[in-house]
Amino acid sequence: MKPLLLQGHDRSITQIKYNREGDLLFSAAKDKYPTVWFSANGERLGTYGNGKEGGASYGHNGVVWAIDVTWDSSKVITGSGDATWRLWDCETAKTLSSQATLTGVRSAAFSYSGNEFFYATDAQGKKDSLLVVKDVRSASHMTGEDCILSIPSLQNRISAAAWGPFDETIITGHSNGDLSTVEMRAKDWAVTHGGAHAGVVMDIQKSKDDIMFVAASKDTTAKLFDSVTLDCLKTYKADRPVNSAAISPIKQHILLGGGQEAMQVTMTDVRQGRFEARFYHLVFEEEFARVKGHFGPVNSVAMHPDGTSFSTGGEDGYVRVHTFDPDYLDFELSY
Amino acid sequence: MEDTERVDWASELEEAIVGPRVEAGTKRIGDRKIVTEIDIDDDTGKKTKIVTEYKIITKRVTKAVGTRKNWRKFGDAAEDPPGPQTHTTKIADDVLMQFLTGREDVMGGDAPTVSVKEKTQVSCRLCGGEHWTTHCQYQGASDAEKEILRAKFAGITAVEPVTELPREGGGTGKYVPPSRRAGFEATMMQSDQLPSIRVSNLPSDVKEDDLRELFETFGRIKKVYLGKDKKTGDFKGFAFVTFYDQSSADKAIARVNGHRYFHMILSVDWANPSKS
Repeated sequence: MKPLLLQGHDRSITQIKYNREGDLLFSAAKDKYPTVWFSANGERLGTYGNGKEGGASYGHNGVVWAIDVTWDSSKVITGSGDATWRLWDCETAKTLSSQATLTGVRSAAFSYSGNEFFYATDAQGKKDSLLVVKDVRSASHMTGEDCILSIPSLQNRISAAAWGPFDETIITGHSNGDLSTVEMRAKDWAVTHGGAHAGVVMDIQKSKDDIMFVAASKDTTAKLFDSVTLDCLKTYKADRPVNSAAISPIKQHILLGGGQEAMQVTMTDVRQGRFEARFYHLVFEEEFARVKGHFGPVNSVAMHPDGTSFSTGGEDGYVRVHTFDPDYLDFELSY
Repeated sequence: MEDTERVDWASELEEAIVGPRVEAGTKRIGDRKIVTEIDIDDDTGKKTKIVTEYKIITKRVTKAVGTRKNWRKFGDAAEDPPGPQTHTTKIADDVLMQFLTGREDVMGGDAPTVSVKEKTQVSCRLCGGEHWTTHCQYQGASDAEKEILRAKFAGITAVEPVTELPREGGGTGKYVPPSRRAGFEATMMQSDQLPSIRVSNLPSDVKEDDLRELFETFGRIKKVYLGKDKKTGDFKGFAFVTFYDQSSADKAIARVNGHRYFHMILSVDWANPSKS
């Protein structure tokens, strides 16, 4: 396969995400400008924020950690290390709303309906990591302090999060490897799976039907969990830190992206770094295929909603869009 | 929607070098769009006709996706002309998905080939039977007896494989190496019986071609084998030469044995002492 190489970012990619139909690919990076691409041909549709027109620059002023889009691709939420979140109009890139937070925003996502979104902030000094849920339709939420829910994570910062099934919960992954859920009705922490991972939870991605999710961790594994009980169902072992993992919507496959820590990359060569995208069987936990490409760790992976292509975003600042060859689509693990 | 008709820097550069192209016509035939341009060289006035053929792919998408396809570009991309731009989008080198498990299930049914392999691998040099030479019960047999035995076993082995082995280009559609094809057996048996001589005390820098040159004068050579160290691959100073007929081998032994070759005195004898 010939991947499309998207070179819109000056710095390493933090998160990539497809919209519901998969025709748009959103990428956030450590530069200030989240970008949206047409996934079919790699054409750049635009950037949210613009720094090139002198003086008239707008948008984020630091690393963008998280990006998400509503189901109808009308709004985009971005969370940034400059301690703001921004709500954008997807088509025109106008800022609909923006608010300063106490600390940097690490994670943000829209609910299934697209009417609410959460954001999770980092812990810094005496400030705890906060999980906040806001309603897009409410003016007081968009301009003021009001929110549906604001709950601190006392011990450990929230490093990754996702909405649970039916928007009833929010699943959070923490810097010590714990997983928890926040019950939306009770507005409190509900289930906690202490020590689900042995290292920082880097990414949480749900299956298409939301009944399970895969959490990627620095402890060199990705694990599959039940979305409600947080029971660990499967473990996918890699020999390097896993930064991101995704579940195929059409096959029983897990896509893992990761690699050696960026700070140690210069000490070894590309081959030893294991910067491949790796495919595991969902049930048998067995790795069956690899795709090379990045020359730095893979920070984020995403499967196209139709399951026929996938994208990876790397520390090297590139997004690679791969369309599967027939030999993958025909592939059946023999057992 | 206003189209500002901006061109990317690559074609701007090209224009600066080769001068503007004049579009002569656009044709549409089925799903193909053919654009004909005429390029005039500034210096020589030479005209070049450039025909570019595009394939138009029509994809059916949902209304929402179709609408998004027509969105205006924004942010840093606002100035970009339609279509992917070379400065942000590239087609990377071909990468292969490396599958880690073997795909035996696809290959399927290699059991018969294994049995054929086992059958033909061992062949006794004395009698031609399917056992090691050292295990042959006819160890002490005279030459005449051996000839009879060989003929007997060769007869059997020549008939048997033909019925079992897959025929060349046969119905199975599988590749059959020449060594397993029907009819190969006979030639294989022969090559074992071809007269071979052992040449020793050779200079260390001798090559296969040197030996061929030396022994070709006595008759046609089937093969030359240089004895080499298994680990280091260094030449060990001896070689085997296989001729097609007995008389040339006889001649070679008589003429070369004890003669000087460069600074060494060669020693030549039958490769298999029992054949002498």
